[in-house]
Amino acid sequence: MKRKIAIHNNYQLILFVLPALLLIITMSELPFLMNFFYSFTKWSGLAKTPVLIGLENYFITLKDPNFLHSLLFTFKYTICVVALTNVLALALALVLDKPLKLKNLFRTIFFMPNIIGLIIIGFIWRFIFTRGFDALYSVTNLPIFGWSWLGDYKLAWISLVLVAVWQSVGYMMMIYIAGLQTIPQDVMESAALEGATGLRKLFSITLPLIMPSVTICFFLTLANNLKVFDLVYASTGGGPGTSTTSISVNIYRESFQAGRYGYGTAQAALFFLIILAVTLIQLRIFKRREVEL
Amino acid sequence: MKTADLELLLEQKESFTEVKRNWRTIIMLIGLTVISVFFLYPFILVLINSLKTYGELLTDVFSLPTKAEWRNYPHAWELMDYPRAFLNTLYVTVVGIVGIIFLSSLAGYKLARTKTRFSNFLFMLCIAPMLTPFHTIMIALTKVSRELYLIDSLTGLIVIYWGLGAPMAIFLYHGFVKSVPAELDEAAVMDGCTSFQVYSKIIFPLLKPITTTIVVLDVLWIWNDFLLPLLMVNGRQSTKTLQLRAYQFFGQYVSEWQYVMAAIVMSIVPVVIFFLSMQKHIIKGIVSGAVKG
Repeated sequence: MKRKIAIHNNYQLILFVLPALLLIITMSELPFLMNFFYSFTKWSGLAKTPVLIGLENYFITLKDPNFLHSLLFTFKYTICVVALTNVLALALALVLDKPLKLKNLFRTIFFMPNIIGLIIIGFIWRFIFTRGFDALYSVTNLPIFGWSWLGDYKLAWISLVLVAVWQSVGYMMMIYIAGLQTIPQDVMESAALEGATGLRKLFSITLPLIMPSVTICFFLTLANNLKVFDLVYASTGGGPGTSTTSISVNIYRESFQAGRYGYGTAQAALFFLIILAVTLIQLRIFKRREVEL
Repeated sequence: MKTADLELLLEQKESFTEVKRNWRTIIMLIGLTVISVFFLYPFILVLINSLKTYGELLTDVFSLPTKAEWRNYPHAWELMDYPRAFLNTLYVTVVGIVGIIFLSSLAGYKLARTKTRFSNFLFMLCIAPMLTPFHTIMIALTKVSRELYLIDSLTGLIVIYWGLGAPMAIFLYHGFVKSVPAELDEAAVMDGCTSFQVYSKIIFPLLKPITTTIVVLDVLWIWNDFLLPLLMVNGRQSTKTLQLRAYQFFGQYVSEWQYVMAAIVMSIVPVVIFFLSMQKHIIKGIVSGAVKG
């Protein structure tokens, strides 16, 4: 009897789960495994047959200046965006968590850029960095507006950092605000009674108590920015030269534009390992600092 | 010191801190307003320049247009085949999300209700792709989609979104169903419901909060998505989505900024309307999605 029920339950479970699971396997897990297989092949077109060549793609990748450069750019860019976004988002959240008139209006304004696609954002800022800055330069004569913000390889990556921070800061602010609202009022009051103020209160009380939000925000900014594609594609196209080519843009180029699909899949496999390692380390370090009240 | 004096002193001190507090509030409001300008001004620039003639835009980017050049809009509307691109995007977003919601709630519900090792395994299989960056699977996914004739078709794109959106949605549903008492299921079965009826009549309506969260997250994802449509439906003009059209349009008319600005406004408006009309749900949805995901 019991066995019969168990079989019946499994039958129902499969019926409910199978449609979703089949799609997940076809669209994600199968391609994931195929990617690892293709990374050991020479494969020059979606319609062509891949030829096994062992680890050669990986050896070439690790010596490929384009790949190494994209790795360097992506990390440099990500570290800056993660740091700036989180500091600014937390600062805004601390201010907008207070009972302040118009706070909802400000929250909405800061959140706004986040709902718009990064392709569009990229073009808006391309307009500002080129035409807008030209106009400002002719009015003010300040050299800062005369620089080529997207065309100079020393500046282009900084421009991307600024736009990325501008776009994502409102989202992270919202998560920090949600975190701040979980702190019980009496904890803050007793901290004030004990004489904790300003930065001391922030580092000894507020931050430890909202550590779960900090963990999430760092995770999200880290993962999102390591994967940056749309913003680069729309605003600099990876240039000037290859100075702002991110790992994901490089994978896209190697495979879909240069036709080196096997080589592209090896980079894609390495990309997976890099993101997994970085985010796991981050979660590990940050989780350790979370405290229970 | 007499009590009266002491009271006076305390009063003075209180009014002093109040003045200090007021000043702080004013400084904060000024600071927030300045930052808001950075967030809003890019959009204002786009709007005013979308109403200028080419000559006027070249001479002055910052002034208001002397005479609104409304013709930029019908021109851009036609050149980017706006209605078609809009309807394509709407179709993919709506049917994509309906599918994700249906398949994932079905699976997430049953997986949370069945507590066996087998169901645990299925659950892990369902959510594992949340760890994989899209760029790792994109090359092989394009290959799979070609083999399955899903490429160059909007319906094909939708099916791919079902597979890619399901893991996160199942994860969120699975977590939420645990808070719905299982006694409800048993009572409904007693009353003669089949298990599909239990799901559709009793459980699904109770999942509304998490369904809203998933809808919000997925609307912003699918509506703004660029890379997947680029790989799947960019081959034909008739299947292009709004993001693809906008990108193509920007590339073709890159120096005629007045048309690009009009195109940007038209691409942003739908998502801004969605945001402003559902603002509360969106912010709540995004925050809770981030916290649980």
